[in-house]
Amino acid sequence: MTRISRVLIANRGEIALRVIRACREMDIETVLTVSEADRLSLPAQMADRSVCIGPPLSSQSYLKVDTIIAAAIGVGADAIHPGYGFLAEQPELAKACAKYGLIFIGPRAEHIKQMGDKIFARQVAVDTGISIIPGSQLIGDYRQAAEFADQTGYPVLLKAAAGGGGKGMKIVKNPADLRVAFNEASAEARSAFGDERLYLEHYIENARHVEIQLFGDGHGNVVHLFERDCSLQRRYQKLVEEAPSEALDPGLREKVCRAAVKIAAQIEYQNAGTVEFIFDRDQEQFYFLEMNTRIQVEHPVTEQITGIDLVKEQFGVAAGNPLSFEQKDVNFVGHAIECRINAESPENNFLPSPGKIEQWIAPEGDNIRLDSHCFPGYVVPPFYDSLLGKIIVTGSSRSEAIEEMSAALRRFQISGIHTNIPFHRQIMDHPDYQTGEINTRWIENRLAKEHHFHEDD
Amino acid sequence: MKTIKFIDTTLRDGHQSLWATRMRTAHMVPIAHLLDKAGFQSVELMGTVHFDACLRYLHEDPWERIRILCEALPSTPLGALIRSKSLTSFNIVPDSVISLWIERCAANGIKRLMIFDALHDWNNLAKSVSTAKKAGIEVSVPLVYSLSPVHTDEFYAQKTQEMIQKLDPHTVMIKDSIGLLTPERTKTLVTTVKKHIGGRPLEMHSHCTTGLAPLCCIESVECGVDTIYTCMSPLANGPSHPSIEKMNMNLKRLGYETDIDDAAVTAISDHFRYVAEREGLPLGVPAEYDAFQYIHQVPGGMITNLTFMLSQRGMEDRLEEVLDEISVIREEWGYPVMITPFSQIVGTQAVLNVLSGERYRTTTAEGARYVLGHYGTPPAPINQNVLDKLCETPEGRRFLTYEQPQPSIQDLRKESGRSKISDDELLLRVLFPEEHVEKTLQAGPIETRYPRGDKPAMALIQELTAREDFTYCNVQKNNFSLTIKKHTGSRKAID
Repeated sequence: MTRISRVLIANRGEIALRVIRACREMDIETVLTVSEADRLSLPAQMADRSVCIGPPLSSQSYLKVDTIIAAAIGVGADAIHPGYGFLAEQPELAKACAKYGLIFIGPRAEHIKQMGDKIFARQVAVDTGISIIPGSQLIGDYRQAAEFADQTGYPVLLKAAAGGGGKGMKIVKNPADLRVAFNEASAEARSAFGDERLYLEHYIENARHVEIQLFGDGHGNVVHLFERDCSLQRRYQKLVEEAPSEALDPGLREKVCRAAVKIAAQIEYQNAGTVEFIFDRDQEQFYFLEMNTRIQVEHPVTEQITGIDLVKEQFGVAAGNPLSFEQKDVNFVGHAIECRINAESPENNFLPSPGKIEQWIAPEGDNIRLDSHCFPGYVVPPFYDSLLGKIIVTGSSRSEAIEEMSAALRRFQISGIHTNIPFHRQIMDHPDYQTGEINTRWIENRLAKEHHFHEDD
Repeated sequence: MKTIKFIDTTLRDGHQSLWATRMRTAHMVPIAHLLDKAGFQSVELMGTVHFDACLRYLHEDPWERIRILCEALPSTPLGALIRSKSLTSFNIVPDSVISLWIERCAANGIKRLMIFDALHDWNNLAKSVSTAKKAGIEVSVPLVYSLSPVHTDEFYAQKTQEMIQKLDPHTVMIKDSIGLLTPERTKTLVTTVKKHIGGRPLEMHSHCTTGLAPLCCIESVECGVDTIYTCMSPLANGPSHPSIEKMNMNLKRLGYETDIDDAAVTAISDHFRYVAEREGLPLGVPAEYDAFQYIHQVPGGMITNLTFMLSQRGMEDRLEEVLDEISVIREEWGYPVMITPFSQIVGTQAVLNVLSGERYRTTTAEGARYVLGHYGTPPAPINQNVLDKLCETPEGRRFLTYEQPQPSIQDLRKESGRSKISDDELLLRVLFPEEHVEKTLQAGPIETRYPRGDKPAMALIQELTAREDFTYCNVQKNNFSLTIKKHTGSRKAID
């Protein structure tokens, strides 16, 4: 067991600030790496010290393993916290830490590498008896299609191999319809793309993205902290996350949490991690998607309902301590929702909107948590992702949390840049969201449906 | 000197150009009485997309909007717009529907119709124009301005002669929907058209897309135009029309007379500035000169559509390529004017051509129907190779022998399975998606209450009394002081 007394935080933005705050409470000294664009950022002001590691482009600063290691050794840090993104899931930084005697606050390099390999990760899931979504297969004729469809189970999706834009796409709900659909889809594919070859895959009409927060300590303990529901996404970017998921009943929850623990236990996983699943709501069936070997953007919703500080726990486990809690200690109360506030313009096709924040009046309240590095006068640099922060609201029930979130978003005043707050408000106020009639395609479908076709005359 | 007339199109083209057609009836009603006495020859209310926007986004019954506004503006004729045989859609609708539509417009209070065909194929309009005249509606037929080797002054002279002969409209207009006119061309075009319309009034409708419309409008008056289309300043400029404020002032400075009541106009503009701020909607800003607009000729609304179509496939970066492709298709398709529906049909074809990597490998139903002449005769012949290629597509084959169904209103009523609904409801059900119509009918009467933006103190009181999150409020500014105390229950008192 080692004591961490000085940590180098190799990240920026709200997560850097989050780690700094945790360190203050634990009395750990913080050194922040900054690019030239982030010298005046709030985390830079809040850290005990900051070190400039290069120009604004992340390839020349936040992604440079050698520079970060040199900075850590130079300032005498005994650990590195990678945050999320950047080098958090690159085994190189974890490996270099091991080589130079630094503690990497995260999983072991080999686990990052293994779980980052999709084929390996899927194999681990299969070995532990967890279903994976059967992959797409190129099919040549009807006989092959029927065979493969029987294997994967209905409904199946037929799509043009050369495809795109929905042409030559057919959903087949039962075997009786396969022949007609197959002929139509290949004819359509031929006429649209001059190529009649089709892919066939299992189709999930009503999919939820459900992920399980885990913690392993390398002392044989792997504990889950229940699920998060991150079904509201746009182009695979999560926008709203909540915990618990109202799509799960206690039985299903128990089942999926146990499956996730099994995967992590199988590889003796250490530190914070998340196992992501696709939940087929109609069939009540889970499919393993992937494992994320880091602290995640949406970790606060889990913290809010379980009362466990995940970032502090990361430090404890990294220092070699066993987990500070056992599975039986982990319970949840209430419901938490997180909205990611991005500097982008929803009216303008979510175009990033960097620039100077003129006004930043954040809502406050007992049930409101704001993880953000922004302040009035802060200039959002154009070099990085557009996350301005996360607003997390906790209520005693889901409907109360939605109501509180809607009210909090209304009070959030930001000017100078565009944000997606109006878009979040529309989601919170939408009956589909309130009644849980959503899935992973809901945002895109709704955007397409509500797109206004302009006329000129 | 001559008195110049104005048609206000704030309620029609102003918010269509700047607010994606999202102005609510409630935004209009508080100042309707001022608009009625502001001295406009006519107020344009309904375009083609307004019916759809009312049903789809606002859940306001469009016919009810017409009735509310006609009642609120008793002394000014209200206008609407129909697009050839498509009426309000991109498809071709049965003749019976067009006739009933026009009759219902008249019955609900519309006094003026702009009936247009962007191909200038007047056969498309003959029936509509005669139906409108019979219903007592004043008809204005536009010449739609475009830039191409076929759209010469001679072309417009010939089309004007044919129009007068075939349609005999009450007034003629020059419609520059894309904002492509220059002052020089205005001079020759207006002079040419003027020669062939007898004593009929000539109207000018020009969008500010390239910043030149205010100049073109003034030039057109100098060449004999009688009426100009304008918007209230908050909804003028940008891709919209010149503002009434400046147009009125500029023409008076040149010695023309007008009937405009400046005080009324100021109050109306104050109101719309307030609506814009309250709803988070943009104000029109004068556009800068844009030379590329004259090359691609794609109107602003369609650029937004193209960006959306490309973004759905993650290919926003290929817009330039699509715009280039549009100019090639236009030439091959006999130079249709790039306004709805042709801007959409040509634009979608360009996206298909660019994204599929092979030109005309595939098309849309509307694309096939256009080249097959279902929308009318194009200004110039269609390239024969392109026509052959498109006839090979499934859509081409489907429409090669297609005949437009012409069900009667009785047939449509029977088909709808609702024998008791009104003609107004029947038309909505025939032309628009069921779910939007249902939602609108369920929404009940249109909300018409809204604070008056030209009376800030009154608006403040209305807004404050409607709020329930305080019991005491004091507002002070210079010599103005307002105190609102909320007593028990919902009773409110104002000192």
